[in-house]
Amino acid sequence: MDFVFMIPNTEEELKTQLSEPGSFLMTGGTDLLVKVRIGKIKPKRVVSTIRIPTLHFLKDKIDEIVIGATITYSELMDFKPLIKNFPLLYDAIYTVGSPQIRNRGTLVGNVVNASPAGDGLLALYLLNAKIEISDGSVVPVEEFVTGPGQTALPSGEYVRAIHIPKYDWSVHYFEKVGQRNSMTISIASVGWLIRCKNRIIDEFRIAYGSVAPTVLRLRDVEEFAKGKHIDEDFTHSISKMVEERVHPIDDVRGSAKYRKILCANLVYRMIEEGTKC
Amino acid sequence: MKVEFKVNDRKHSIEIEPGELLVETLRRLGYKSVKHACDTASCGACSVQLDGNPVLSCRTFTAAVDGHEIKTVEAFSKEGELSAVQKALVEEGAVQCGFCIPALVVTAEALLNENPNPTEEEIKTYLNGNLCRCTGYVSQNHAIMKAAELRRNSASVPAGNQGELS
Repeated sequence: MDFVFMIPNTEEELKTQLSEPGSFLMTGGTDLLVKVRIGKIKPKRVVSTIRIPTLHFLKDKIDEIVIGATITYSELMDFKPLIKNFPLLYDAIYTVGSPQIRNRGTLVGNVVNASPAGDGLLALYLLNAKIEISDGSVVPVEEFVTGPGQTALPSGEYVRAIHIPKYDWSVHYFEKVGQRNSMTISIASVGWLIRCKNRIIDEFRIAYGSVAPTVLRLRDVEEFAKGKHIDEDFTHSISKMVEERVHPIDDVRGSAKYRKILCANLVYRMIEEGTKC
Repeated sequence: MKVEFKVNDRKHSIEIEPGELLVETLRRLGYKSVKHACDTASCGACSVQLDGNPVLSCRTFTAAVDGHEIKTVEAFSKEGELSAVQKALVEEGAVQCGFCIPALVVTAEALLNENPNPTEEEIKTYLNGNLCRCTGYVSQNHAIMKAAELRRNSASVPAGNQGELS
């Protein structure tokens, strides 16, 4: 491969090396190196963040957790506050690749890749995560991702960390539908968070992956669900709304028509989920 | 650029291209058990242990393992004696063409170090990145269950050498 590979030791060095045009950021490389290998990307320089100690941290604060840029999926899954406070995110990243991939890949990489099929990304949309950029700004993940593979990351900057606010939910759900069980990229994925009592919804969030240019939060569906009783009629209405709102495309993994029906049908998992409150 | 790292407890200090991948370096050094197969992070045949954790050597820069420790399948047999995992794979008929097996052993050894008493479901989940086109996985899952039991029952196993049965 014909490019320069740099491994800075500090964030200052990283910033200097990133300022050169044609530089690509890399942490685990589980995605970038595949793109380089198939010729989709031809970098002049690859700058790795892996040896920068100030980007390798996990913080459990009173109201949020903070995940540093070089924390791998495996390290994150071993972090006790994650499964305690964010079981939805745990479930989502458990479906990422294989142990080999999770030992190298990072959640920050998933965000910066900005794939509409990003499993971790879908959970971050639902959890109202915020992205901390090296210029000091902190932006909601939904504003950070601007399109498939596109972000609002200014040139020469990098993502330092992800902030996820803590909040109590009664029900969490994540499901990824792929062509097989292992090592799969989703045909469609869904996640929801429900705060409810006696099956009456107090707060509701729902998002879909792989069915639009970015992960899709369905805000009007969320608004509609407030105060409703989780029953068959409710899921029929939600299912219909979902079918009208997702706008998938035909691709190698599935047709647009199949994806639409799939998204509408996934809603019916909620009947069982709803009994938990 | 120059890097230094250990492979199966042996120190290597070598000159590499910056964009060189670990699978290329390892094969150049003679570790041909590490297979260069799909090259797209799909098949797992290039799996090696990096500081004890399985990773894909086809998606890891050699430059990134400077100062670290790599283990390939050769690390797990001692003086011609197969590890519990290797023995069980042979006994259960879990090896056919053999192409995926070195990486499977590397991954299974990591699983049993992490989780000495896995369920069949946990084995399937952990090995979901190691594809095998011959066996259908049943015999391999049985073999790993068996190896786990062998390892647990072998009280005389010295620490850090759990793969070896005396």
